[in-house]
Amino acid sequence: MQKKTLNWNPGKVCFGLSRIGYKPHEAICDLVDNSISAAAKNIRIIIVKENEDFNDTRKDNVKEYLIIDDGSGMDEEGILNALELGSDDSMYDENTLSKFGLGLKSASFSQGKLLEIISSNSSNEFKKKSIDLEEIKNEYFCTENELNDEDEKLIQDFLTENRGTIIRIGKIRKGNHPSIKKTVDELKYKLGAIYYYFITDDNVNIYIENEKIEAYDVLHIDEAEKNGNLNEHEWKGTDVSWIEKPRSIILDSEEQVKATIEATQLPHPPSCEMVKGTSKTQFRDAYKISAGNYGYYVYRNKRLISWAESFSGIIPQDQDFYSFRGRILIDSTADDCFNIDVKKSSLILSDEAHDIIDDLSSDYKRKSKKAWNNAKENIRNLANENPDKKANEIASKIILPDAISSTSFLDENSTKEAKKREESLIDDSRKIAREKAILDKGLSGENVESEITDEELAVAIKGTSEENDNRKIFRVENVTDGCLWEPYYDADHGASVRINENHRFSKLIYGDNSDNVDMQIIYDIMVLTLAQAEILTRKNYHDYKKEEIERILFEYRTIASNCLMQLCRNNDIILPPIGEQ
Amino acid sequence: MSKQDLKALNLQFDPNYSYIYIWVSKKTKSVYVGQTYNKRGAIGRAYEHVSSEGTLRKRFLDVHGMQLEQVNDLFLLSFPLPKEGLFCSSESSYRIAVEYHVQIKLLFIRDRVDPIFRIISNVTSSEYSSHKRLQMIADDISERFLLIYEAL
Repeated sequence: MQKKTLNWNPGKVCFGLSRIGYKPHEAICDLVDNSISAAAKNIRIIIVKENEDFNDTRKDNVKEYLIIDDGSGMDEEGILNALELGSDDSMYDENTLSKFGLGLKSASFSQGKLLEIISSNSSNEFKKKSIDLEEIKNEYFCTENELNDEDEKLIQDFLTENRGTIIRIGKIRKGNHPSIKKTVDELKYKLGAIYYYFITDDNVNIYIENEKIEAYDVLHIDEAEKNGNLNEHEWKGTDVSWIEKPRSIILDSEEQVKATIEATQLPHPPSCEMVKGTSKTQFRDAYKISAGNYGYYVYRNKRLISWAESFSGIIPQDQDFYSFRGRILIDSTADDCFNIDVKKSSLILSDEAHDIIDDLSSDYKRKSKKAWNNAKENIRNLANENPDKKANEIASKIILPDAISSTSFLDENSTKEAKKREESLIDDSRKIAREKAILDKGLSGENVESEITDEELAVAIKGTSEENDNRKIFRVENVTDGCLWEPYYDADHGASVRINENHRFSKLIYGDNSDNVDMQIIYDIMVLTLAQAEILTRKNYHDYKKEEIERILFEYRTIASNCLMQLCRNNDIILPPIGEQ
Repeated sequence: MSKQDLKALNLQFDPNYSYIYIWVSKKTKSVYVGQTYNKRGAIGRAYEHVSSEGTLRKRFLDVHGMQLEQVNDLFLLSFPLPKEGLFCSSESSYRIAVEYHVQIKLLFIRDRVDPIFRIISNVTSSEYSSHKRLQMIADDISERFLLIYEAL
């Protein structure tokens, strides 16, 4: 096989590099990466105006970008290596933020045609070398230049230990180049998150002009630590809670790619406004709650590379997920598996990693959405639009008949039998409540009833520990055998009902039709009436044995629940809300 | 293999139980998790999986480019769920919750075994996934599965 060396056109290759598609703040971050790789403790970003008289909002007014760091610096050979296309691999340790040895050149050329490096590693004087794309045609080269007054002043001001690097990008491209304000705003918004771990763990200081960037934790885990795990059924929307505490997982079994995954639920701004009195705009700003900020934040070697990643729809566009924040930490071992691009701003998951994140996200999304909607409902409650409350107000006025047939209870024996059956009803209800409380608490074995508190028992019966004992309708997470409803009877509440809000039919009413308050009230009243009819039948219908009546009614309830569930599952039937299908 | 697991094997035909079942092939490092309440037990569900349109067959093809017939070490393990109305009804949400937790638990603990398997089934969470008892059942199944996997 014959080999023939081919030519390459440096001018065109550099032109191609300059068109990778960096925005100014992305390009600057790539240069900051190099500063961090050089173990800099102080990194300063300065943007110099072309025309000082123009406002910062003016486009095409950048003269040069300066990134100054007090890192290890480079000698002459180091500078030359840094300027070469595809720097030597030995330059990078395993935790490097660099990947292809192209970041410095591609980032710089994307913004301007002139790249200057001024650097010293303290064992030699500062050297200055530059590449001017206007001169790069058939040969790729750099020129050595003398330091000018401006260079000397920068060294004097910021590199006092005679060590470090100044990157200058000049001859900035005109033609819709973003304004300084836009770039600075982006940097201020994102730098604290991008370099969060370097700022907090490694005490790196990053400045934009003279303003120091504070570390920003997109998950707010300090608050989550105080508030614990998210209870999606009871979350009031005012606190940050854990959805998933940090856990290590293998994302690709073939390549043995390990990652750490964690997730939190941030506050619901309208709830915060209502409860804490501070404007929801302030909460939105503080927690960065908006479209474009929810999803996964992927950190590679501690540096954020993907902001609010949806992973091709795993986290769908849906306002109900505004509070969801996930974080995935990977290292360089994931590079090949995840096809991380030159800009280090996007990644494509392997099939296995995609499936795993999809599976995990299923529960994260369920919890986050449920919690968000719970918070919304809580606000409606506070604003007195609570259908549950209204239904119970109506229920309290309903007077049940004593009898369901004209003859069976007129004599003394019938009355005695009714009393006996009523006591049996009370016992059964109490037994169901205790069993549920035991299950909810995860207890097993004998004699565990004493471990159940009154509050836990109240939650098992009513779905909440709130003391509000005029109610007859209790919306709960589940009932025996997953039925839609279950009668409840005790001396305090009388004939009541526990409605399974997780039954598919309930979800149709409470979830899909959550804006239809009237429908929910009528639904609650109807199900209460069904339960009360069962109770009346059990108490007063003496033509059959107690056990037979109980069995038949239970079977009927089970079948009815299944029928309603099947109705909801039938894709050929369109149920309300009709307009939204 | 424990007595519990032997009993599970014997119950695979019993229609009065619902199951979490796990297909496993150690040579292809593949695990597939599912749930069923089938009138022919776990074996009945297995038939659906290996039929020409079965999801197990499709997943093997998608992931490994292999037909099921080329896999010569495919085992079906069935773990019966408690014999209660919660699990033994057409309402599948409780079984789905257990199935979900088994898969997720296995994802987090699979680095304990060699070779590390890939889970080729897809699962979704259900409204009961926060239920502690269901999580405990799933944890137990997952741990038992790992023991069996190591012994295969």
